[in-house]
Amino acid sequence: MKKLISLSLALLCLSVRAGDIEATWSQGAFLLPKTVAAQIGSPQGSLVRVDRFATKLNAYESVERVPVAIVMHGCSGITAENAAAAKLLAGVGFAVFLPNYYARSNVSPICAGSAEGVPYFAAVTPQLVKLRTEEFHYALSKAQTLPFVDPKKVLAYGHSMGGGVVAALGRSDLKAAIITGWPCSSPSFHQQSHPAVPQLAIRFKDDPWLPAGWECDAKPFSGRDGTNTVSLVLDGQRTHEVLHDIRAQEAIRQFVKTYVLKGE
Amino acid sequence: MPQVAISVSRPRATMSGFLLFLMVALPASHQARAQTEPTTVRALQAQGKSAVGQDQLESLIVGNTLSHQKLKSTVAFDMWYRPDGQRVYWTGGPNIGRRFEGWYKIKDGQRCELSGGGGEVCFRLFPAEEGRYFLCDQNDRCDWILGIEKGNPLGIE
Repeated sequence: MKKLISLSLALLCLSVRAGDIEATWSQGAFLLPKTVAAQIGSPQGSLVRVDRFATKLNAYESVERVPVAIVMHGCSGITAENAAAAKLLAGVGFAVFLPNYYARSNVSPICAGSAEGVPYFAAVTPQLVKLRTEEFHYALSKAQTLPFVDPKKVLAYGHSMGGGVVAALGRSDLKAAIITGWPCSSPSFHQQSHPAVPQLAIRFKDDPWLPAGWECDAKPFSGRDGTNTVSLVLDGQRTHEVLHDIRAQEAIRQFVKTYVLKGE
Repeated sequence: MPQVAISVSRPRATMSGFLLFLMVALPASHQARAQTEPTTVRALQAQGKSAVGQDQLESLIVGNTLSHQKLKSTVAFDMWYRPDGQRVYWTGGPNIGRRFEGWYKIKDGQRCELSGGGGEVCFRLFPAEEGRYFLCDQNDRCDWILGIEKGNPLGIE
């Protein structure tokens, strides 16, 4: 009897876990290039939940397939900074998907800050990063089955803790990776993207959430090859977000044009 | 003068072109666009502006949706201030991301509400241009600008 109860509990846990990962996709968001959005009938220029268009997303076939970007949010969940990233990437032709960690059942906030934007706690752990990388892998596997997506042209993008997730993916099958608002080094983390994947990192020098002086560059022992690693450190403002700055926007446009849109 | 520091070594051909773009085009493009600057209560008062009073605050806020845009940032929230004293918003836009609900009160000419840290946080509103308002915090910093829409046109749930 005890064995039966244990087995039932284990099966229940597995089923909750499987439901959780599916929820991170279905209750996540997406934004499509204008031409594709017009065909599917999804909003242009603002995020929409995947589950509200699931049937149409799976049904739309296109001769010309579009590249895909998976955007990983930070510890606060999907934010306007992530929406700005999606808008920028959809504007240059990407189908953009944003999995949602907070769609999981029974999750606690990973971090919070004051109204002045000052952090008061952040609990990013290796276990959490592992959960979040699972979200990326699952979202990408779902996006790659969509009939209008080019499964080989993949961009990984992450902001803040989402940048840490991108750095921890370890995948060599990505065309490029973009990490914003994340230092790639901390007492707990020393990771960057797979050395074969071109990587662009952007942060502000004065960022209230990040330690000063650390960046995702190709310094000795960083694990990165200096030939495909660029780190931009912006000055002039104390801020965690980067996409309001036109220098960040232009660098991202040029980077994806070079490594994903023109790539074979 | 805002600066951009670029770290890279031994660039190969495609990276060289990308770097050239970064070094030449970025500083120029940054200067091309001016943005509304955050301000302070003192600066607004020096312009002859006064904080919105209690009655007008109630009429602007209660039952309406306030779009919050942090100045010189992407940070933005659309918050529905329900007539029952609860304020609802999502982190990623209407019904996208993570949902927050908490109380709010209009008192002493201020909008007070449950802060992310669990305590009470209060703001004053000062008129800005085109029917918008600066949101000024307890340290008299005005880092946010508000737009106001009647009711809940975005369907925030």
